[in-house]
Amino acid sequence: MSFDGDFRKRKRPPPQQGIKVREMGTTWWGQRWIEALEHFSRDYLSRLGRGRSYARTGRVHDLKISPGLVTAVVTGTEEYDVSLRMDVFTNAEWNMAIKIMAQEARYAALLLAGQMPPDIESVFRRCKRSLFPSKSHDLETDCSCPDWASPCKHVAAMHYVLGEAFDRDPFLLFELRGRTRDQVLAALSRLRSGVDEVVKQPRRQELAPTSVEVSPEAWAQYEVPPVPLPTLRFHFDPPQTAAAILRSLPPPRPWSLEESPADFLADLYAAASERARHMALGVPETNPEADAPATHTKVRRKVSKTRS
Amino acid sequence: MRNEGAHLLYVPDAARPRLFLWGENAQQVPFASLGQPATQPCVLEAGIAEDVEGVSIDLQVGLPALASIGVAEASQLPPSVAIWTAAAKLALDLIARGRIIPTIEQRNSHTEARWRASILLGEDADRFARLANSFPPAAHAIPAGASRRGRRAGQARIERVWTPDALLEHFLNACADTLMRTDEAKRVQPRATWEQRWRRALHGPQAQFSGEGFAERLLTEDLKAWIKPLAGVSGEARACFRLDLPEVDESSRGDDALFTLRYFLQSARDPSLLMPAADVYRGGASIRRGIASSARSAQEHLLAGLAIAARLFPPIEASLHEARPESISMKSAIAWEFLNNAAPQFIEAGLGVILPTELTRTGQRRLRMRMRLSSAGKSSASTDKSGVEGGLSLDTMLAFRWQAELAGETLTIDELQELARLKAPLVRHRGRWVAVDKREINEAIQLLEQQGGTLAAHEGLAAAFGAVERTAQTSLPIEVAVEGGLSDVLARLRAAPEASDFNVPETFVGTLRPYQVRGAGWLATMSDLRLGACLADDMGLGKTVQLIALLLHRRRLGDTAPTLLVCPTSVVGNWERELRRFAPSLPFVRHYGPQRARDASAFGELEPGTVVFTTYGLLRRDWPILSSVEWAMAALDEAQNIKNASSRTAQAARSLKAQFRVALTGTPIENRLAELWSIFEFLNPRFLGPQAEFRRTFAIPIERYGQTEPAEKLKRLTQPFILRRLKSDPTIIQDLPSKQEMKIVCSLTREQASLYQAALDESWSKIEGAEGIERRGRVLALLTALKQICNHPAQYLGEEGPLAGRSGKLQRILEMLEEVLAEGDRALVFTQYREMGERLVREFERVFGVQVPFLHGGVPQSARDEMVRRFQQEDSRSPPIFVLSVKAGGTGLNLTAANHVFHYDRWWNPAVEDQATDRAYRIGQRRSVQVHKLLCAGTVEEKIDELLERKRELAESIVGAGEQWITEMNDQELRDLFSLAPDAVVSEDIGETEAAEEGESPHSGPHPRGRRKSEVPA
Repeated sequence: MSFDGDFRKRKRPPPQQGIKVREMGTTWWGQRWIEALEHFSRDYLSRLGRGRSYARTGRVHDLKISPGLVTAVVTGTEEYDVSLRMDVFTNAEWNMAIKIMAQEARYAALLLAGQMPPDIESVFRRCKRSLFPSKSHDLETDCSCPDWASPCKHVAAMHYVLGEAFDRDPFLLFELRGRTRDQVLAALSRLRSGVDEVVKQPRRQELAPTSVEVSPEAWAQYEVPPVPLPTLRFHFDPPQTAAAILRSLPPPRPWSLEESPADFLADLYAAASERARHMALGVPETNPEADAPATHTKVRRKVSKTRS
Repeated sequence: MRNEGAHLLYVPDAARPRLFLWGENAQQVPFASLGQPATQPCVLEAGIAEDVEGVSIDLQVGLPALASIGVAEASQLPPSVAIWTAAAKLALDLIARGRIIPTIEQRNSHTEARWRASILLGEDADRFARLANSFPPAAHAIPAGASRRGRRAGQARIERVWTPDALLEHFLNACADTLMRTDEAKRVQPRATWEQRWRRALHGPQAQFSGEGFAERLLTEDLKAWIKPLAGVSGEARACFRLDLPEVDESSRGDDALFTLRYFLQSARDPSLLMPAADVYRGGASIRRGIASSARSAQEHLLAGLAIAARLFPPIEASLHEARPESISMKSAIAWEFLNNAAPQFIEAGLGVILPTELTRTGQRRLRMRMRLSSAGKSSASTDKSGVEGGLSLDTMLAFRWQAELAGETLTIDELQELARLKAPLVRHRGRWVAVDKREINEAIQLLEQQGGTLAAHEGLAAAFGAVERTAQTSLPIEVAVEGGLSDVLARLRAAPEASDFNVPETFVGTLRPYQVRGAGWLATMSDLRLGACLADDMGLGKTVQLIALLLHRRRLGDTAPTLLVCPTSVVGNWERELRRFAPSLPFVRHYGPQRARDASAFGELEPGTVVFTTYGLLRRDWPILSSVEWAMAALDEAQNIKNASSRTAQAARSLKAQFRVALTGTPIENRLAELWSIFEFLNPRFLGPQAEFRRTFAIPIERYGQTEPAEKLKRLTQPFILRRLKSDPTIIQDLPSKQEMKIVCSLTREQASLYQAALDESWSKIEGAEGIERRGRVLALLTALKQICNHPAQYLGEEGPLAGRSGKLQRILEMLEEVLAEGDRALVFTQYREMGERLVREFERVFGVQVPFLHGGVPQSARDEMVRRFQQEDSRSPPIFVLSVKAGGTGLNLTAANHVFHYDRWWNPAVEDQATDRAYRIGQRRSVQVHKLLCAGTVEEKIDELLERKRELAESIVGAGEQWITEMNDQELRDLFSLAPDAVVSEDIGETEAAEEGESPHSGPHPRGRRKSEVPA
């Protein structure tokens, strides 16, 4: 049993805002990050285990990532401030890496699709750098706890939480090294077109306004469509395979089943498609009134009482 | 309903999405009854937000109700209602096509699994945008708080509302979520994986799911990130892939030629805007060309698309090692793989795909089968007694043989086998690229080995009319070619409506107009070919005389079997009158009244070619007798009486056996598809397929969704069997007089007849004994009473009760007005009696659901002017029917908007009637005016009319004084004039009595005689 100085005090409960890690290192890049820690701290394996359980129970919070620096607070017996420092790449290093990436469209394509190119390390190796920490002194960690071990369990906990954060967003690794995703993509685009475009970033589509001011001119025409109502085409044909729409996507990150999400939900898709088709193309129940043969009933506008 | 006074909103409440219908006429919207009274804040026309009263309809109930409203009906509804019907259809289309995605949302303190619509594909984004652009204010008047600007400036409060885009997206999402959920979701174990619990929350009644044991907040983010490429409304541009054929020299077989898949950026809003990848990388130009907002976003749209494409079609991945990939080259086997498998997946993933059209499944350079149809088949019908050369009954069989075709050339089995031996499916064949799938080749070889077969004529004709792309025999696309005698028949059929070589029988008394000769000739051709025909000319063009000419023609040809003519009770009198007038040589018998035949043998003893009249009511009642006779011809007048195919009337009509069937109708049946099917099933059984299939493939796509392709296909199918000429047709107009006068002879109901007889009996003794002024007074009083009875019993009795089904005249005018309205025409209706006018107005408004103005002596001048102004307005909302009293409205007014004039009762004074008619028939009238004078058969009305017809000069000189001259008659003359002819009543009551019988639950077949509770005592 190790002595870490707080066995007499009760630990505080994990705070509400704690980040509960479920699975870390599900992507190869997240895995690489965690391996780096485990590789450098063979001496303190027990602390890694505690760190992992801290990460799972949500004791890490207020995680902030900025170029060269990660900070977080870990709640154990007390609240401890934890930090991690890494080298920021120089502009020259980044420019070179980006130049290399610009030689193959797949880098940008994968980055745009939210994936880290599997040979990204080779890109940085050609710049004589490593995206992931490769030596123990690449990682400079600090914790306000009284434990003398480095890394302590608080640092380890933050490291695991970071691993999961990287799983989700590989660009955080870039950010830690000094460039945001947007900066990398913009630089790639510039190199591709050779044009230094000054782009006023259009506000993201999510921010499109959902409300609009009422204009008196428009509202005076309360029941008048601004342009005539369109005639739309409909066909209601189900896709050849159910849930086809999901098949263009890789499974979501936390997916744990053998079956793909598309197969897992296929029957729901098929049933809803059938219901929609029935509703769209089915014949509503016959209204006995509609049976009347007298010639004039056709024109009569009836209030339909049948529920279709 | 009016285009105003009702508004529909969607209320974007995630917990209870619903529709809100309000306005003074809200109750007239068809689905109003589905809702509950509710209050909803809403931004009114004045721009202020207020709580309004209305009805709230849960989306679950409202969605199917909205979606089932047809396009024609929607166009009559207020635009805010119409636009939500289109939105509901779009929602169903997205769900049916699986364009929906599952996700998780954080709401307040809990997590919910929800479905969202994906408006990613070009066609969806396009429909979404067009719909959102058309939203009238009333359709999105959901308050979204007041504007800050207004508050700051200290001005009046400026309201904000949801944008159409946001509201429509919310609606589509809510529809997806509503339709995905059922009550049958399986329970899951408490320790189930999050995926299982998520699945349950996605389709069970409860969207909420507990995230015990892990951080839902992160899961939410993960799933949002996962689904992001498919979520929401599509962006500005997408990657597009075009497959280009290799260029090879003519001699080469092309086995090693390379196909090219080129990359483009395609505008999401205008798919015709394409920019090659090279230009995209060069940058700059994209902004000018309006595809993307910036060079960078253009590149990123393309590259993100390439990443997806590479997952779906790995050969693309190789090109991504280039800095600026523009295309890949591939051998034909890979190109085939793309064509057949990858391309559909690309489309599903929201990528653009452009294929060489000739290589798509229905393209010219794919294998297709040509079906060569000929009439060499044998008749399968044992009843076939037609000796007519070239006849083509639909119950015969047609022979066909197959030919395989590729790129416009016919292939033999050997050639097909040679193609099958090639290893690549995309090959050069006689200098052109063709796609040959081994499975397709084998299928073609099999068909060729079978050589051909026979096909029911109704299927073959449908195929020959170009309405068939597929048949049950093969999955390959087919083409139909007609040869031999069959092609002669089809040529004759096509030429028939315009052929003018019909030789009008000498027995026809009178003159047919040129278009009537063509119509009778067409009927004659159809009867020769033994194809059921529907003559659907506009009202007033003389369908009756054309049919009479046909009857005489068939008799001339030697048809000996009798003809059955079925018509509504209200026109039996008219038919007899026309028959006596135009075809006095044609024998006819009545099959109605207590004297009618009680078994089929009676029809065997008739003179050759006799016409047997009956009514729809008796057809229904006596079908066992009528259907046991072999008729030469079965004709239905006013065939819309069998519009409901499951009614007993329609079933009875279908049970008739006849060599030729004909239907007359004045309503535009091509727009009433249920009616069209029912009439066709009578005319040409099975030709339009089973009713359920017809509804699925034609009626619903056309009526509910306004789709043009099935409409055109249906038109190709039915056109050869329908002849419909419009009064407005220039070739018809020249044949038409500018004013046509017609007597419309109506039948009395039994109630009318007994009232008539009673009134007569009561007055008669008093008249006989009276003299001088008293006698004249009594005669005039009796005349008035009898005219009132002919008009309507309720007018005579001074009742306010229901009017339907009690007067033959009223029934007939309703039938005729329906046709007038269906054609979009307008009518004047004159009566002498204000009490009758008021009743007519009430009944017209009830039946047609339109406002009917009534101009009579009690209407002040300003109101009269307003009535005339509104009626004359060229506006679809103007009243289509105008009732006038002869005294107040018979002179002075200009009512040229009407081209039909009805004289509901008679003035017996041509000058007065003509003057009234001239309200419409005058300068400014550009159409032919039809004048309909209604009178009751067998009554004083008909007798006075005959008297005046016989003594025109008498009419001119004497009648000028009104009805006074009648009072001068002696007892005998009066007795003849007033007495009721014994055949005045047609055995049964009419109108809504028939309706009531039809309203009973459907039966498997026509009712056997004797079980009917309404059986007439013999």
